[in-house]
Amino acid sequence: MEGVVRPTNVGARVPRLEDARHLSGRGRYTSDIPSPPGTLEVAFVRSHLPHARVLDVEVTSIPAGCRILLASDLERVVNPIRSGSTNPNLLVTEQPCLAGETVRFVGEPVAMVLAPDRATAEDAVDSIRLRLEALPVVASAAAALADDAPILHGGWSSNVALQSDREAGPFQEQVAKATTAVRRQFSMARVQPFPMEGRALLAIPGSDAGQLTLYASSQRPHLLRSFICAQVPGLDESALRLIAPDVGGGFGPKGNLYPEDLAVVGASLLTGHPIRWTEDRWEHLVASYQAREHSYDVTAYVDDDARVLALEVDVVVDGGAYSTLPSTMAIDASMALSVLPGPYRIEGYKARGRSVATNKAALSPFRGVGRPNACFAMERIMDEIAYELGLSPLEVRRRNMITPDEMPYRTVTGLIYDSGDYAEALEIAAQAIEELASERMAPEPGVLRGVGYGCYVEQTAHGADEWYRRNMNYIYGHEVARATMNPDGTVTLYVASHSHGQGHQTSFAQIAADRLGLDHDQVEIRYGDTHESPFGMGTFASRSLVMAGGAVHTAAGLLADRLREIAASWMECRPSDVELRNGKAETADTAVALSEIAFAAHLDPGRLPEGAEPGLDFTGYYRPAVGTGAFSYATHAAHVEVDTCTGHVRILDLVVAEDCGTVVNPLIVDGQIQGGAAQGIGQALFEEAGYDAAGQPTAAALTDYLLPGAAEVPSVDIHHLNHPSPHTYNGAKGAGEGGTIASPVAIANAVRDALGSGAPVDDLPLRAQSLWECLQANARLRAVDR
Amino acid sequence: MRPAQFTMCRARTVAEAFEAMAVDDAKVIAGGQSLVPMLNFRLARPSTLVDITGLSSLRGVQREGRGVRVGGLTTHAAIEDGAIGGAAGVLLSRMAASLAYRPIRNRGTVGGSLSHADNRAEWPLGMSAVGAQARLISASGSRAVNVADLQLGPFAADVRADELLESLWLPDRHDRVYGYSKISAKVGEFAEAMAVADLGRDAGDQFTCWIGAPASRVISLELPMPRCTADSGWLQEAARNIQAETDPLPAYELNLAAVAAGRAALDALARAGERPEELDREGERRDV
Repeated sequence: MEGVVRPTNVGARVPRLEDARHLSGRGRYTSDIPSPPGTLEVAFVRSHLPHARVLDVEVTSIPAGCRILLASDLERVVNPIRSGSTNPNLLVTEQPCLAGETVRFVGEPVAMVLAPDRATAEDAVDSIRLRLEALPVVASAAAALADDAPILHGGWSSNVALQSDREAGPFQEQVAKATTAVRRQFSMARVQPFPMEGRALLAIPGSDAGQLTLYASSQRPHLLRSFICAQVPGLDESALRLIAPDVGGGFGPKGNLYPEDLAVVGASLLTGHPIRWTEDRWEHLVASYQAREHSYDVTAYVDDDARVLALEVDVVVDGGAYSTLPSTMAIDASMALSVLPGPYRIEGYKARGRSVATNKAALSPFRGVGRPNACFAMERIMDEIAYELGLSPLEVRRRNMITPDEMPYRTVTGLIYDSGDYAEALEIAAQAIEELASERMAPEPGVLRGVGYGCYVEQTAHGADEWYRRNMNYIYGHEVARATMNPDGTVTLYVASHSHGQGHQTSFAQIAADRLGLDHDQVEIRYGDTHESPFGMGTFASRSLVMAGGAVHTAAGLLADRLREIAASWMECRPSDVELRNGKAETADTAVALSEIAFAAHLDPGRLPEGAEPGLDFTGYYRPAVGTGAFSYATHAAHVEVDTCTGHVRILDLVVAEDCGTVVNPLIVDGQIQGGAAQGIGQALFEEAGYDAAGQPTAAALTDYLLPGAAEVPSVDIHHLNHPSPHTYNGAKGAGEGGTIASPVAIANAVRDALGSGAPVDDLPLRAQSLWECLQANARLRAVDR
Repeated sequence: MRPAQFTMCRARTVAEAFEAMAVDDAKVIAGGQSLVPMLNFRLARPSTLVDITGLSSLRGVQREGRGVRVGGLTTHAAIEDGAIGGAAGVLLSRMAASLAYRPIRNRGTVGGSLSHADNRAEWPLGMSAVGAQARLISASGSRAVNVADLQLGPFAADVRADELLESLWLPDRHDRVYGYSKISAKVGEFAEAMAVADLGRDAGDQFTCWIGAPASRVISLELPMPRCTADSGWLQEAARNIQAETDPLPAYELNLAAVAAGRAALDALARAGERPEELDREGERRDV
């Protein structure tokens, strides 16, 4: 059935089937699940100090019906989180779900109150006084690395959880050949991934002893079940039903285990009550996992032709107080060092990465995972090379890009690029942004405009090889789907890849429908319940369309094969002569309805061919032929204007020319790019989850944490290239994260283009005041020149 | 983020409201767009919340004398939609449209905003610029205060705990042309700087400038007319003049105030149907 093009199936730009539910308010999130009788709601008592010894939790009087649980209570049922890897050099943090001895960030839970409702629980929290003895604070990565820094974790000899040093390729020889060295420092602020729905949990004890149902706003219900059961002695995976209903965005943090997850499960086990906790925005801003706080010192060694011969980089990642499970605080630096060379042919490489602990909320992977940072450093330095050598930023990129005839290309860091034409993306983006810019009226006086570029290559849908390479304790090598044809001929697919904005209900249905000769709206996709679908990994790492889509492809294919076999036995032909089309199994001259086959397979077995298995239920697994990943790439181009009177930056045009191989649903891919770009704009211009020198968060409410809104995010001009991956079942490559990778640096480079040398664009977010001060200083210089 | 316990009183009459407000630590709530977040953060812990949204005497907009009386419960959205007529109404409608987001404007009230007295908010500035007078009522009577004098500083208004901002009276000013400029980090945020320009009756090369944020309270001063939005000499001169009228401001904030002032003036000029060059040539402004 390959190659059959239906108006709504693979390749079709169809609206998402799930939109009707979401747009009409019929979505069902964890907080919409009714509380069973006897439910107690949780309010956590959280540390107000960034680093302190817990002396006492003083309880004077609490409202009637409330109960308080302390670390000593939870310890009886839940083990502390110790997140490590197979790398013995990675230092492990130990995080109890409630802090009993030491708190290490503002917002760390110390005690939990259970009450009939949240307001009463918060009243009780009000009446509880934490007696804390302040300890010296490590409020930045620089402070963490100081010689006399207080060390945050017992058994550590410094605050560096992992340092990795690598030298690859003929580094010294390449450096010796270089004629210019361009060195710069770059940094990105810590940000909040900020899903619209915060965290939410509802634990309900089962009617049989030892059973528990947990509703959770999670990206990967099966893995969360495994993580929880590994921490709770006696709680079997067979006894824990984990349901992630509708989830209002994930972006990475909701793929990791949280101490609150364990506290809620533990409280339910201890009390026998259903337990609900819904995170509020303050908790979200101070205690949810944060992201992206990296600093870079980069030197590019360049020859007279502007070829980058070698790169030297020192990366420091501020990992916050604890290693998240299972990612650990080393994941960002590992990713950044691996992807830094991007689309360029760089042969010499020397890199140091350090992941350090500080008194801040823990860092977790966030859409792009280290790539936006690495891309920022690499693409800024490419511009600086251009300025240094008097070339255009485009020309420097052209001269260094890996060409299609070099594919597969093994990078100096060991990645194996599989397909693509990087320069094609660059030229398309350049042409598009220039056209858009030329269509605009001349700027008002006092407004400067500029264009900037950012390019990246993104490893997506990596199989086992990559996760082993990262020393992960959990290897996400495959994905699963179960295809069932019901007795009436309708089709249900159970997948483990949750959808929280990715449109799986639609794109997976398109894939299955093509295999089964149906329209996409005749296939139901179900996910989110560990009791319904087989064990699978969930949604992360730009992998679902390839991995889970591949599993859907496989399972639906198995089902299609069986349907053809049964039909062929009735039609007295070979199965290969049977085509599934429009709900029927057809040959050139005869047809039978799939519903008739389905009924026979389930409820009229006498009609089945001799020896045929009854039933129509097939589990399919998929892992790509090669486990090193399918490589998407893009060039992002930004056209911005800077108001010289205020330093404010406005994005006029944003172009993305990207290749994610075969596109199953262009509308969904476009939406992913648009949303990713919005987060990139936030990183570039607005968002900062800061901490002051005392370790207090400076953005504890939305008045202090600015997110881009509709007015700040232009409609992205998107161009799809199509160089299918040779490694995936349909040539697809992942597309979920790309939009956020290069948009920040494209914006920064555009501002650099507008303002000229000295523009303060090496630290994100860009600050209007700094840009204005730079402009003032330049104006003074010009006045002196005259 | 749930409020501490309080008693809720939904006042049906002004007398009922005054009675409830007499309780220690009582707090008046109208649209609640500033108060409710403070309650949820438990930054405000009133013993009693007095809901005045049911008081019909605080509603509505009607002619009164040579002006218009605007009830304190008038929402930002109603002002945005043109509840107030005339030149002032046009200005205030534009200011309302820049105030947060429509769902907030649907609930928030002008009286609440003025009583809350955030110096970065729209109404202390807008109502000062149009010469509005607030009528404050209490169990012991009423008094009138110019809005320009109402705000004492950030989050401090000359409104006693036993008083309600019943209404505003705006004088007719058909002969005025107003311009407005708000500079904020993004759409919907509070202002970093905000100014209203009043070209006056016979505008020449001067205009009256009202400035809200970043000043800690609304100020007004006479400024010369700028020639363009990025006239650096004018901006520096304006910044010096503004600084003379307000608490010391950091250079960048002061600059933003000057930029807002200049843009408000040019906005007013554009609304008056004239370009700066024409003004320069003719030296006078056509009446509209």
